[in-house]
Amino acid sequence: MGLTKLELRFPCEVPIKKPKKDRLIEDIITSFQNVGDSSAKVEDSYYETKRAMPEAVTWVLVVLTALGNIASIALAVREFLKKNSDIKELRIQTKSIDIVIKGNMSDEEILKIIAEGRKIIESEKSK
Amino acid sequence: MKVRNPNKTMTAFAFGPAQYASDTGGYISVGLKLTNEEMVSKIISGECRGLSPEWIVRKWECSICHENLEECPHEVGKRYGTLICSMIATDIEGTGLSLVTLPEDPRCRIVDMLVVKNGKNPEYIWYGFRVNSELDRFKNIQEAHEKRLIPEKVAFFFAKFFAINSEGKAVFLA
Repeated sequence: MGLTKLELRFPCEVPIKKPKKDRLIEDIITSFQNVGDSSAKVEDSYYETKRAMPEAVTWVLVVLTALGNIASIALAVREFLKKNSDIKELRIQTKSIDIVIKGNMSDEEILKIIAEGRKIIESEKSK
Repeated sequence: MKVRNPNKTMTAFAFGPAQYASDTGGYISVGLKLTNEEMVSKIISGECRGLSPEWIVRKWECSICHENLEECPHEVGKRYGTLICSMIATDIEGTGLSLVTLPEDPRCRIVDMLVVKNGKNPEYIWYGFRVNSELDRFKNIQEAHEKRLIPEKVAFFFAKFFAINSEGKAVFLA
């Protein structure tokens, strides 16, 4: 079974201190475990800055997950956001998907995203 | 009289600072190779000269203790004695560069452009736009020469031209 490579983008103004970073990584892995992926792991972690002045950065966490559809991924991310309410939203990117999940999203909103994204991510995994 | 060859192929090289350090004022300069004539025209007209880089940073250094910012006790933006803590990117990898109309930092823009029209008699044109520092232009001319984009006599001609003119267009017909 193939793995999906996810890039989770955390908007942050400054680099995150190590203890908080470790806790966030633990939380995200736990969230994936809670929706059925016990093998989720962090492959890489770095910061991205896209502006000409280094005043805004994005922390990118590259996660490998065995989850087969965007539904479970979106639910895992929403659970993580509920636990970490200081993070308002999280952008999920794969090779072919780019969605933003918010902690206060309802199931209906999540389902709407799932309907749009499920087919894409499944076709990506089968390649 | 030299007759210009309409079949000359054109290549342009643009130079400019793409990223300024937030504390020291130092900057990273970039050189771009351009073959799209429309983009070259937009740069000449001033419609699109801004530079917006994309970087991956794997390590940040603390400006107070110079240790790993993620592990030190200092917080960005806070004052420690007479110093304010700021973040210094130390492990950087460029991932992209965009030409934009309005860059976030107005200092980050194309300040020089060399257009080379190849042919039997090559034509070298140097467009000098407004620079942040007088020395920048001469550094760019020197860089163009070191990268063998222009012969020494052409570099000398451009340097001489811009010693007199702070901005403008210098043309050298070989």
